[in-house]
Amino acid sequence: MISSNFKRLSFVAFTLFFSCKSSDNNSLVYWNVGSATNDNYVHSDLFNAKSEFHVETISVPWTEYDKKTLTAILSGNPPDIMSQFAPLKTWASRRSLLSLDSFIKNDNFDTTQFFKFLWDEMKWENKVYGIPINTSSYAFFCNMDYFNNLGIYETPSTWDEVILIAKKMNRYDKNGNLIRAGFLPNYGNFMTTNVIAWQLGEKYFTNGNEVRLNTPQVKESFLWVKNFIDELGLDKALKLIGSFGFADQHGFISGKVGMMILDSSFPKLLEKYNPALNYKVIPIPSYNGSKSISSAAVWWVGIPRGVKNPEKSWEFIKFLSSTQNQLDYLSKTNESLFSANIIAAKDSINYSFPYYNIFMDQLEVSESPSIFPLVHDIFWREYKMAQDKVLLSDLPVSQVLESAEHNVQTSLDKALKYYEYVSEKLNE
Amino acid sequence: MNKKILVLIFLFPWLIGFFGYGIYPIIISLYYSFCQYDVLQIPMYIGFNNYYEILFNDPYFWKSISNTFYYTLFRVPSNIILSLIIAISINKISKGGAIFRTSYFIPSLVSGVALSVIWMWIFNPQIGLLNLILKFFGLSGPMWLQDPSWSKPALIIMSFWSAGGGRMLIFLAALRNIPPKLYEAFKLDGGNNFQSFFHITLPMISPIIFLWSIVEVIASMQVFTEAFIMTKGGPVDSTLFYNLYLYNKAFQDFNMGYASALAWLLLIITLIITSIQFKMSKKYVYYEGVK
Repeated sequence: MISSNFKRLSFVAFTLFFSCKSSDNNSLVYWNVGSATNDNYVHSDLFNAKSEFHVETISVPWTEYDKKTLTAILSGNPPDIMSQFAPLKTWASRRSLLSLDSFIKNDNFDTTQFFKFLWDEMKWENKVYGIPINTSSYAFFCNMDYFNNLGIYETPSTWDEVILIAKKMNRYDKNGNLIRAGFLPNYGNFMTTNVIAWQLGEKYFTNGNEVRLNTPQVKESFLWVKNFIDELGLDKALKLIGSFGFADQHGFISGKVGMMILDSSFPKLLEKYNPALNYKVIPIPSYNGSKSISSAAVWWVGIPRGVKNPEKSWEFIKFLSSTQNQLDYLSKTNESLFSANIIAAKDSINYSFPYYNIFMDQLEVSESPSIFPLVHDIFWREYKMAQDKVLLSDLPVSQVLESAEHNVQTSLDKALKYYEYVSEKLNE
Repeated sequence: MNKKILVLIFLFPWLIGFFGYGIYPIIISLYYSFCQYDVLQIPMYIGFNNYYEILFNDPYFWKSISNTFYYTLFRVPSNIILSLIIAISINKISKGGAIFRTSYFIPSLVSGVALSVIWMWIFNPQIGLLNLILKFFGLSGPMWLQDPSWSKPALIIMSFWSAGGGRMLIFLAALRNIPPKLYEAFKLDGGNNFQSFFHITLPMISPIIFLWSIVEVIASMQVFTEAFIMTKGGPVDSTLFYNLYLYNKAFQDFNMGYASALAWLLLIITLIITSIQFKMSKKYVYYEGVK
């Protein structure tokens, strides 16, 4: 009886095991950072129509992407191609990507087809680990109805002008609550402190590995924001921010903020959630005569460590980054990201995108947020924490920045030591 | 086929889980706690450096532990008292008790993430329900989650949401297990209801209070979801709880060695607190009416 049951059980287990789908040498898997807007376009479909091997695209939600990819690499079963928008240098410094130099050399791959500042982001220790696909930049959005109502017909070109106009735009209810702010520093992804510090020439490091946060430039940028918020009233500003949400509840989209630094995805969001909003996009204002500064994000593709067919992965990457595919993608999707491929980015197909030239100009003056790849998250977490402390506590700015600088430096020193240790072990 | 082998075959999937996802990670995390390790690369043995760093050079450790203690200190007694009050009230109701029991229990079924999102809106300083109620009574509500001094009390208030859940049901069962003759005898001796609560009810349900104090302390020491969803540890680290800090170290900074050391320290801290609770229990827990 037992023996008969065991045979049946074995048969079921055997059937289940071998009926599971397994990858073969002719089939690759591409993990794409999930994007609901472009579900109608799958890069691999076009590729598969012409290729000898098959690529399956799997959209992975961005909130889970890091952990899933990390686990897949660690378990020795990574996707054949991965896409990401977190700093490549951070992934490369963890030795999670294969170097693409030999492929680039063997194929005489034209690296000048990409914007130079995006291409530079693809390198770690003079080796290339990824190919840029998409990008976006930040610019300054103005609610023109508010400008017109105030009789102001010139948009601001300096931060001093932003202060003056913002004051005129502020509105309060009968209880004294702020219901509309002309400008809210640090609301949004691109922090005003960071913009001003960059405009003052701050690089946040010296000699490569010395962290600089407690500097006159950073201090000045933090104090500018603190003074602005203090004048507005911290509680009033926080209450207003508390009423913001996503989509049509966003501060600028809902009309609760008159001016704001936003990324290039916002024209499409405005079109979707508040098409009646009369806005204008201008370069980010300058600080004391400095040039305009922006920040660019880069979406890239790479080959994770441990893949079985890197040559085939490279074939697909070449296809993804090609001008033809980029143009095809732009024409068939509602993508709000720009192409990292210069020819595709400058094609007339993009001209319907609102304020496209402004965003492209802002790309040219973009700074990279990847300052310390080995401790990228720690650096920005400490930076944001320092901002909070300056605004919400009575601690002096210097003390806050000194503490943040010390924390980042300590983490960086430890990370460097570890990096050297692993390098030595790999060379043995 | 030997029956024992067949049993082992059927047990095998569970054993894989137990050893692979239970015992092995526990043991390996102890080893990693003595290493610098970023998950993707080989671990570097550094002895007790992680523990030394945590205890003597890491301000966030002390901040997170003080936040967690604060939360535990206020959340555990307030929740136990509230659950007990609800259970006593329902126990007194002669008709429709089941309706009230169900009504109080249902909110506890809401998942932590959904609950966090709901409470984010309730705590909204400008349009949130809580401040609107306070405004109705002529009071000006605080900034709640945006104010470092109100963020922890806000999360403690939020924890009251599930006071009518499993804890209340078990209290209710314990209350119904108290023999009525004890109350009758107490009344014959001249005691009133108020006195009977302290001299009969509390001693008789003290094992359940003790059980919940242990469970709630352990749960409070592991508080994570609310802070992760609602505040991300802010403002100004005021809700940076121990587990959130551990998570940041493990899955944002990928400093798994340091995170492992934090996890082992949490185990030690929880063990110490639990042993103190057990020691103290000898003074107030009565089993079957015998101290």
